[in-house]
Amino acid sequence: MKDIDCLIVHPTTRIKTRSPTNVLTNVILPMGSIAIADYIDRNGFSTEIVHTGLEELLNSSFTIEALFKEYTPIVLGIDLHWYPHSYDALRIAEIAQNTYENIFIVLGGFTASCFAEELLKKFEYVDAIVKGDAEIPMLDLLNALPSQDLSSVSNLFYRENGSIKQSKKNYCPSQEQFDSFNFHRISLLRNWYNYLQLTHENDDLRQKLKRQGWLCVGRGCAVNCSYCGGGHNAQCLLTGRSMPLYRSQEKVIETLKVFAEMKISCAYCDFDPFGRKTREYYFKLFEMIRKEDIDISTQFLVWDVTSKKFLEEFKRTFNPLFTTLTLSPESGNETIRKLNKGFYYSDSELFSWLNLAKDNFIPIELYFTTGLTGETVKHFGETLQLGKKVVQEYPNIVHIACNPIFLEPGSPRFLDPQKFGIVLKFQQFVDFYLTYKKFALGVPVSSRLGYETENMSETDIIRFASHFNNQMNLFTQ
Amino acid sequence: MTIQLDVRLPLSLFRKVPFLFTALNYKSFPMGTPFDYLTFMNENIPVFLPLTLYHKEGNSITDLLFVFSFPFIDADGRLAIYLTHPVWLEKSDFSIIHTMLDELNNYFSEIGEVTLHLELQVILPSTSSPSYPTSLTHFSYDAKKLSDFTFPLKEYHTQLQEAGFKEFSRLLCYECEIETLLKKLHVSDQMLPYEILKEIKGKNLSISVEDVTPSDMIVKNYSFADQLSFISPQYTFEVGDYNIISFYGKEFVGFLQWTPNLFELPKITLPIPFLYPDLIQTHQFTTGKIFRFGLKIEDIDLFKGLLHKTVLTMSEKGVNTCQIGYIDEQNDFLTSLLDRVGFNVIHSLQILQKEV
Repeated sequence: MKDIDCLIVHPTTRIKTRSPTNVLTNVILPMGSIAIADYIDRNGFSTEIVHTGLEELLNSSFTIEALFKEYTPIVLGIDLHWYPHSYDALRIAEIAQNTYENIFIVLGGFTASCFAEELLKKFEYVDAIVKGDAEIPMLDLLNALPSQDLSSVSNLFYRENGSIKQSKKNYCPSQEQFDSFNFHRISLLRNWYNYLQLTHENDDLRQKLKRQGWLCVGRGCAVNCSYCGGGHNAQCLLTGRSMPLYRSQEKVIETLKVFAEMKISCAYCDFDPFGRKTREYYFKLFEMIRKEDIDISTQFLVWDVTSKKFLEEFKRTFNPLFTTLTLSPESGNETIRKLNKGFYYSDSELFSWLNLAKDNFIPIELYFTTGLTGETVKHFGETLQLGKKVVQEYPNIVHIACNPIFLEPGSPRFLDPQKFGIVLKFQQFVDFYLTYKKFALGVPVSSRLGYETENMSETDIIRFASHFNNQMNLFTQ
Repeated sequence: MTIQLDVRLPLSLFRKVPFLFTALNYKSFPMGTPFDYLTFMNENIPVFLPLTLYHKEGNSITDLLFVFSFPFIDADGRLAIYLTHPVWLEKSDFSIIHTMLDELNNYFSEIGEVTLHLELQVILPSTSSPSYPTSLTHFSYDAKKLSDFTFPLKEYHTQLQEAGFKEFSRLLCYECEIETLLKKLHVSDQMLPYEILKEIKGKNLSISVEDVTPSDMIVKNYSFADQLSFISPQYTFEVGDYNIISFYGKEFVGFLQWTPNLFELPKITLPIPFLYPDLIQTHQFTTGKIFRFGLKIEDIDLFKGLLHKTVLTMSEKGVNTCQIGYIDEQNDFLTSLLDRVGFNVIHSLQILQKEV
């Protein structure tokens, strides 16, 4: 047994299929887990992160029970950032409560933040929820536990004398605090090298050409897409963040240098909170990457079309081996795109941007969706047509796909379904929990997406996305 | 010092020795996703594995040696691994080759016995640069850039012989100026009983290895997964400017396929030039390379006729140098013919083999 102050567990989603082994999905660790672990570790509390899916991949006989025989933590932190972890996070919490005589179990992340009170009401083995950013609250918690006075812990929902309390202290990191966090100390994760070897944003756990690192550039967003649980309003509600926050370029460079040292070949970067309105931050960052001679590729997601200058600077900066730019027009119909996306661009702007990317020899990944507000079969037909057209005209498009929208807690459509023309099938945390429990047990579920729209049934939403992908495959062969 | 083997492609490789990737599934390369699998003894084995030997100390990793590897099922139904030229990523002792081979054995040991095939690039002292492709696989190194990141060939031989490798074949790449060829390939060579065609509208020609003679010696010995190698048991191509074929009456009797030297494209298009077909269409290439050929009968006139038509097509496209490779050194029919018409050897591939 290893005595440890804080054990952070990533609850990989397990889906039971007919094959003897479970399917492991949502294997990516939230970047914040590393920053939290590093921050509390640097402040004198021993910390380790365990990724349950990775452990299972490396050792087929791995169980949570066996894991808890290895550690005696004072605090068990479980990330419940993404809703697909709803069941597994709670399953792990329950096992921990039954295993340890004295353990404090705390959950955090967007999903946990969205349903903080419900979680504490319905799952008695959860002791507390950190709502919003958690680096400093987790340190506060470790400091406060000996005195049993949790009221001083910021952002905390907790139990006291049988009732649920919310601490009065609110915390959302300042620029200075944010820059004091390290997102690159991945060695705090058990078997970190295998994590880098195997993880990929598409959940494919096989070994691959590139080694991906997850680059934290900032937090927050300036706009609201109808389907996104991380938009401006959700950020205000869950974290108190009213404006996007960038890490200083110097800190990002520090992370990239560590990535290069670890032979991470591709930095995954998904932070573009103002779209084309301003990307000055990146011009400086790109210049610094070149100046520091950091050799790295990037899978870079832009949330809006970019200028010619951006593409040129981008091309100059990164190693082309595994470099791609990703854009998600979502719909082939401009009205539907405008209705749903925080950053709108017309088809003509999209084509101009694709032309620029082609001229600058930049490989592109394009993503579409089904299940958008207002979308009809006719609109989907336009999405399909647009997909075919771009594949035909832009040979630099290396990947094109359509995914059905899953209901995200905290998204505008979740908070106001009527306004967004959808009917909710998941309304509270327990709906997500039971659905993912059924997935884990191999039991049929009544809803996968958690909603249907006024114009499309859930079956249609899934079927159309699948049809799009089949058509693109046929078209590109 | 602990040295281990990792499946990944280091960025430094691309900076040190630029390469081209031109397999059919080239679009998946920039995304770094896994490749197709072949099934052997109920095991799924990637048809492509980038292998890097590295040393790890704390968070710091030093890459030492790299090879691309292509598992395939050989003619006897056994698992074989084709390895490209090992590239030094960090100068180290020659014995590191043994470490690489030991690690390879460990990696594949669960599957059973494998035959290793190792491709060594031999750059001859010439002003010419080997044109694309420079490998039997779809990974072509810019061979001229290899010399700074490789052991001397003699050392490779010594170390590999110690490790039990034997030379299996030596394959040659020839070069000649188009102008010289047009003078030497006489008019009488052009029109024979064979009809040389390069355009049959809407026709895709499908040829299996059995359809052609051992003139294309390498085809006989390697049958990798279709999309990862130029050498496949069956290939289909559109008849056109880059595929010159010949018929005798209605019977197919031979073909040559050539490609412009994609290394001449602006460096910005590396390593996936096929993402930019417009550029390939419009770029003025100076060198073309005949990289695949097959004859039904070993007839000098037939080959010369095909060659003449190919060279004329190259000339029409502004190409002034013709390369042809890779020809088995023991293929007297072709080597003597190429010598006669003015070709010189500029590059060769040595294939060494070892049964593990």
